[in-house]
Amino acid sequence: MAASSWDAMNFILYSDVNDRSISQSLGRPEYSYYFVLKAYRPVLESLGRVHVVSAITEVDPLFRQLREAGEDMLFLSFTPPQNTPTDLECPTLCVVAWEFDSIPDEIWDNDPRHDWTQMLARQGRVITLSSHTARAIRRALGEDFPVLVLPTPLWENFAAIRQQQVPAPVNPGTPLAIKGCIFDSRTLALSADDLLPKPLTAEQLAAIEAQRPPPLTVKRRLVIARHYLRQWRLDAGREQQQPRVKFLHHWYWEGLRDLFSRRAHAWLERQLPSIAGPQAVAVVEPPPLDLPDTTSVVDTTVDGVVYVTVFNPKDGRKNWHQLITAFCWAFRETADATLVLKITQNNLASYYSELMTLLAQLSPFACRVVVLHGYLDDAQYTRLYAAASYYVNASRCEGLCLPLMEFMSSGKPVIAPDHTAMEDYIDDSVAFVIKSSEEPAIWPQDSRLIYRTLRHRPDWASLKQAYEDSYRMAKDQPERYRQMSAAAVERMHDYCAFAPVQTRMAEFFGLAPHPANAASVTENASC
Amino acid sequence: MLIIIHSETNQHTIAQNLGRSEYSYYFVLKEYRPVLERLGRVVEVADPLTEVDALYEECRASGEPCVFLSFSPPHRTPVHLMCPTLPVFAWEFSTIPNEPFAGEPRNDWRTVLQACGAAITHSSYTVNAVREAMDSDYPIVAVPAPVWDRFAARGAPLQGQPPNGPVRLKIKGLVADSRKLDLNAFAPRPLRTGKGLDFHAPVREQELLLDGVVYTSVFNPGDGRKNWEDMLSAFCVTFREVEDATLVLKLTHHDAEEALSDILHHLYKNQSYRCRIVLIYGYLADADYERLVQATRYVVNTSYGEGQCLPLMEFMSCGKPAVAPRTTAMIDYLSADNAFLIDSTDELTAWPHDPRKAFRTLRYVTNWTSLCTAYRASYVVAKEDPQRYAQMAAQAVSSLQDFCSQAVAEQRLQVFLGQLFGRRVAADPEMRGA
Repeated sequence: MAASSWDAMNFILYSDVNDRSISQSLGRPEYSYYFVLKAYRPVLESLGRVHVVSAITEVDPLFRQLREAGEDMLFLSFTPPQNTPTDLECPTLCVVAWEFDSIPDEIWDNDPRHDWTQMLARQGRVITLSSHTARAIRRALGEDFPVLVLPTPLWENFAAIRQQQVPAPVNPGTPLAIKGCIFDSRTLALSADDLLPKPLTAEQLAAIEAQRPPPLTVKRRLVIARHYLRQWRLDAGREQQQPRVKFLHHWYWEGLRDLFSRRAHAWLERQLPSIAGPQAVAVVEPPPLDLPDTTSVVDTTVDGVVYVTVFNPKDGRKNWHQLITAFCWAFRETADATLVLKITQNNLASYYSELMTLLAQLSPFACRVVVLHGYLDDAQYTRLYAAASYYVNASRCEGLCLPLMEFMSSGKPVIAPDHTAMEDYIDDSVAFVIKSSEEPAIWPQDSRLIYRTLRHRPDWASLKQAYEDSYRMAKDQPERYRQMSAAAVERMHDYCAFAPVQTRMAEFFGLAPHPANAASVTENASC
Repeated sequence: MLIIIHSETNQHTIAQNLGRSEYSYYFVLKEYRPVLERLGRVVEVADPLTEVDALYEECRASGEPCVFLSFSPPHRTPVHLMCPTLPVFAWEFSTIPNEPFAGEPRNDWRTVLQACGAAITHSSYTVNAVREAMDSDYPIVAVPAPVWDRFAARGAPLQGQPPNGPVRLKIKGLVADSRKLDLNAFAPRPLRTGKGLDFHAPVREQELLLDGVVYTSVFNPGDGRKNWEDMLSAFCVTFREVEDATLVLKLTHHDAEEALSDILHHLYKNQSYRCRIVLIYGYLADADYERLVQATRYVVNTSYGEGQCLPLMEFMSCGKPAVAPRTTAMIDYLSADNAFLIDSTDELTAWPHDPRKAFRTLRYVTNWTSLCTAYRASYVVAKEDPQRYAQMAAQAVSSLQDFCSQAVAEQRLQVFLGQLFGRRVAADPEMRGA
C-alpha cells in the first residue's frame, strides 16, 4: 500500500462495550475488547483521524460522507469476527483477541459467519494481539496472509509508578483501600469442619415433626375429600385461572395416593395425567447469602512477600482454584506470604460461596489470602501495584493479559506460564515460568461443544514450586529480585511502549506517524 | 494358624455393588485367599462383630494363633475386637488421613493403625505414606493381590505375539461401537438427532470383532480417579486419521445408563476420528475375557492414582505392555521396559471419603501431551518393531511376577505374620504360657 498523508486517513472504531456500558460489562467476554480499543486509540490518533461510533449502523453513513470529501477510511471492528457485519461498504478490518491454537474454520448453527477463515479472507488482513494468534490465523489462511501482531501500548502509563518506588521484594506494609469489601483469611474464622451441615437441634427436629401432616385416618381422609370436592364444585380457583381439576389432583395426592399400589398408580398416571400426574416440585430457594455492604470504602494493610492477581472468577480460563490452592499449600506454614485477589466481577453473590468454600477446604493455613471486591480508583490502584512483590497468572490460555503486562511495566517480576499470548513476553529472566501441558478445548462460541482446539493445563506442582522459589528469592536474594524487576521493565518497554507499537502499525497501514498524544488507559482492566 | 477374613462386599452382594466404592476389596480378598490357605486355616465371616471373637476364643483355648484380616479401609475396620485385627487396604494418596472428621475418630487412620498395631497394604508408595504418619518402623507390608499366576498361565500360549487377524468375542450385555453409532444422538440436547442406545433393552448375546492395534482399559466409570476423559480425547486426537487403532473400554458398573451416558457424550465431543472406540458394558465369560486380553496389544491406565490396579496387573501378567503413568502403586511395577510412561504432576485434593472435601493430600494429574506421545510411540512399536514389542511383553510378564505372584505374596505374608506373632507372643505373657 502506498503511503498516504495522515490527515487523509480516517479510522472508525467500534466495540460492543463503550464508556457508558463498561461498568455493567465488567468481567464479560466482550469487555476486554473495550480496553484494547482504548489502548490502541492514541496510536491510531498519531496516524490519522479517529472516529469512535456507538453503533455499527453509523459506519457506512460516515464512510460515504468522508469519501465524498476525498478521504481514506478504514473501519476497525473491536468485536469477534462472527459479530462483525459482512455487508458494509466501508473497508473493514477485525481486531481479534484469541487464545486458542486454531481459529474456527467451519460453519455451525447455519451461520457462515462462524467460519472465521471466510470472514477474515474477505477483509484481506487482520490485527491480532499475539504471535500465538497470528500463527493460528496463518495456519488457516496461509503463511502470507497479512497479520499485524499488536500488543496494547501501556508502558508509558506506568512511568510515574516506576519513578515512585524502589523495587523491594519484601513489603514493609502498604495500606490498601477499595470501595467495596475486603475478605481476609485471618478474620474469616475459616474451618473445614464448618463445611459439614450442622446436626439439627432437638428444637429444630421438633419443629420439623410438627410440620408433618397428621396420620391419614378414615376421618382425616373424609375431611380432605370434602374440602377438595367442595372447592372443585365451586370452581374456587376461577379467579386465579386455576383449572378445576387441580383440586382433584390435590385430593388424589393428599388423601388417596397411598391406597394404590405402584402399578395401579402408574396406570392412573397414564389414564388421568391431570389428576394422578406428578406433583409440582416446590422450588426451594436457598437462603439469601449474608453478604457484606459494598458501598463504602474499606481498607487493610498487606506486608511480607505479597503476591497479587487480578481476575474475574466467572472467566473459565483463569484457573484460579489452582492459583489459590498452590499458594496455600506452598505457604501453609509461612505467615509472611500474602496473596491479594483483586476481583473484576461486579456480582459478589456469583462467586462468594465458591471462593469461601475453597478457602475453608484449604484451612488451616498460616499464610494470608486477601480478597478485594469492588472498584479501585487510580490512586488506590497505584498502591496495589506498589504493594506487590510479584504478580501471578496461572491461566489455561490468554489472548493478551493486560494486568500481567501492567504489573510487569510497574517493575514486578511475575509467576506465569509461557504459553499462548504470554510466549511473547514471558521467559525466565522476568518470570518464574509455570510448566504446562496441552489439553483439548472447545471454541467458546461453538454451541456444538465439540473439541476442535487446544488450550493449556498448568502444572500444579510447578506452580507451587514457583511460589516457593520466588518467596526464597524475595527473602534471600534481593539483588536478584531487583535484576528481575529491571528485566521486566525493559521487556515491557520493548514489547508494549508506544513507539514500537506505533511503528508496527504505521508499517502495516503504510502510513507515516505524526507526534503522538498518548493518553492514559490505566483502569480496572482484566485480561 | 487360623486366618479369619472378611470384606463388606461378598459373593452374595457383589452383583449389586459392582462399581460402588469399596467393591474391589472383595476381589482382593478372593485373590489373597489361595495364598492365605497355604499359611493356615482360612475362615471367611459375614459378620465380624459377632463371629470373630468367638473363633478367637476357640483358638486361644486350643493354643492356635489367630488373626483377623479385615479387607477394608482403616476407618471401616473394627478396633475393639479381642482378636488381633489387621486392616488390608488400598490407598493411592500422598498422605493418609491424620485428623478425625465427621464425628468419627476412626477417620483419623492413625487411631486405627495404632490400635491394630500392624497393617497390610498393596504398594511401597502406601507403606511410605503410612510410615510417614506413624513411625518409620511401623509394621506394615506391601502385598499386592497375587494375580500373576492365573494370568501368566493364560498369556503363556501367546508368547508376546500379537494375534494374527481379527479376534471374535461373545458379549452378554451392551456394546457401543463408534463405527456403528450415530454420534449425533449424544450431542447437547438441542442439537441431538438420530437414535441413541436403548439402555433398558433385554440383555442379549452379541459378537464383537476386534482387529488392528487394540488398546484396552478396564475400569469403573463412576470412580472419579480414572480420568477416562483424557484417555479418550488423547486417543482420538492421536489417531484421528488412523483407521486400525481401536480403544476398548470394558466398563464395570451397576447401572448401564449411568456408566455409559457421559462416555457416549465424549465420543460425540471428540469427533471426528477414523480410529475406533468400543464400549463394553456387561459380563464376559472367562473364555471371552481371555480373548479380549488376546486381542489387546496394550493395556491403558490414565488414573490420578492407584492402590494397585488389578486390571492393569492382570493384562501385564499376560504379557501386555502398558500405556500408563508411573505413580503411586504403579511405581512398583511399571518401567520404560514394560510400558510407555505418561508424565504427570501433583495436584492438591481431598481424601476421597472426607465429606468436607478438605484439601489435605496430593493426587497425580496426567500430562495430556505426553499421553498423546505415549500413544503414538506405542502404535509405532506395535506396527514396526515386533522385536521391541516382544521384549516389552516379556518384561511385563517378568516384572509382574516379581510384583504380584503367589510366591511373592506367600513369602511376604509368612515373614510378616511370623514377625507379628513373634512380637505378640513376646509381649503377651498369657500367650507365652500357651
